[in-house]
Amino acid sequence: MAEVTDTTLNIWLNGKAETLTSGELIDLLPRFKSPFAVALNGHFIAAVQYPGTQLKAGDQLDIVSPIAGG
Amino acid sequence: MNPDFNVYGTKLSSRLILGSALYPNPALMQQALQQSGCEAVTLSLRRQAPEQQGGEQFWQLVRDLKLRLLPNTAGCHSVQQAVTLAQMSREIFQTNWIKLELIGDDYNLQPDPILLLQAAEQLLADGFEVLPYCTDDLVLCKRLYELGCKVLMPWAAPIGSGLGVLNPYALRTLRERLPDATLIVDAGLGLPSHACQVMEMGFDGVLLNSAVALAKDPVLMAQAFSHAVAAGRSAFLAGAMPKQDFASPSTPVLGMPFWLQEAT
Repeated sequence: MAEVTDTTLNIWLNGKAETLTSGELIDLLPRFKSPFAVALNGHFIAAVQYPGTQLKAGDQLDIVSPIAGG
Repeated sequence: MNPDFNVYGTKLSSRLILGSALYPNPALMQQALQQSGCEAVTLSLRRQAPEQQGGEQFWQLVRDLKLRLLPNTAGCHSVQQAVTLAQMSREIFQTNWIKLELIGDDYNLQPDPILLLQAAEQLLADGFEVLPYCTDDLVLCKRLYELGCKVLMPWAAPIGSGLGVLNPYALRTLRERLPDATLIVDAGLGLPSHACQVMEMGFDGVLLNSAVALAKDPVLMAQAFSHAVAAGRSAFLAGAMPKQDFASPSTPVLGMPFWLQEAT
């Protein structure tokens, strides 16, 4: 992961290291296609909770979408 | 026994549930699901990878089919993973149904019975309608049912093995001991005859994926399974003849020619 600075934040996004410039979850989401659901550090984050959810260094963020399954 | 195929109050006319994975292409998946007559389909959630195309196409195809969705927690190895994935599924798919999978061994993908009970209890308390994928262990199934799982999905054999019913005694016993539970055999079936076999036992339904998706002609195999499930159900309702270890001629013996009655 990149070195943490005052203006950046290093997290794990879908299992990969990611450096963010904003700690607001809501700022990260536009890059993902709907429908998706979010878990932060293994816990579900409901859509109504997106605004106001603050990320911190080392967080593990999972964003999932439908796939085929048996 | 339930006269209807009742999944938490929803009556399904088709007793076959199919998975959506492993088909040669999405169009064949769509055709197979349509031709099977199934009314419910399983699917899952995975990390979104924007660089990978195809996810949106899959979701659109499934939505177009207008089937009931049965999301799974495949791949989960802990209660927390399964609960979180179930909550994510409920938000996306807008259903309380969850096919609860909690793997205890990676060789045969055998469900972990202890974690399964713990996860089922949490999910039921959270308002989910839990369909646990479980082994054919009678006591485990009784505990799940007592917790509130109205639908149980015991395996016939390990997922994707196509081995058919490995322990017919265990499945028959489940049906006998849990007459009011909705019992769906899930996993391990390879042939329509396997599906017919469990339906003849009185199981309420069958869930499968690989046997159809990996067939040379998935659409034809989907139809074959549909017929087999219906045939097995009819046979169960009709009631089988009793078995015996000796022959009984079906053609009347009385009046047989060429036979002479000796004078006494």
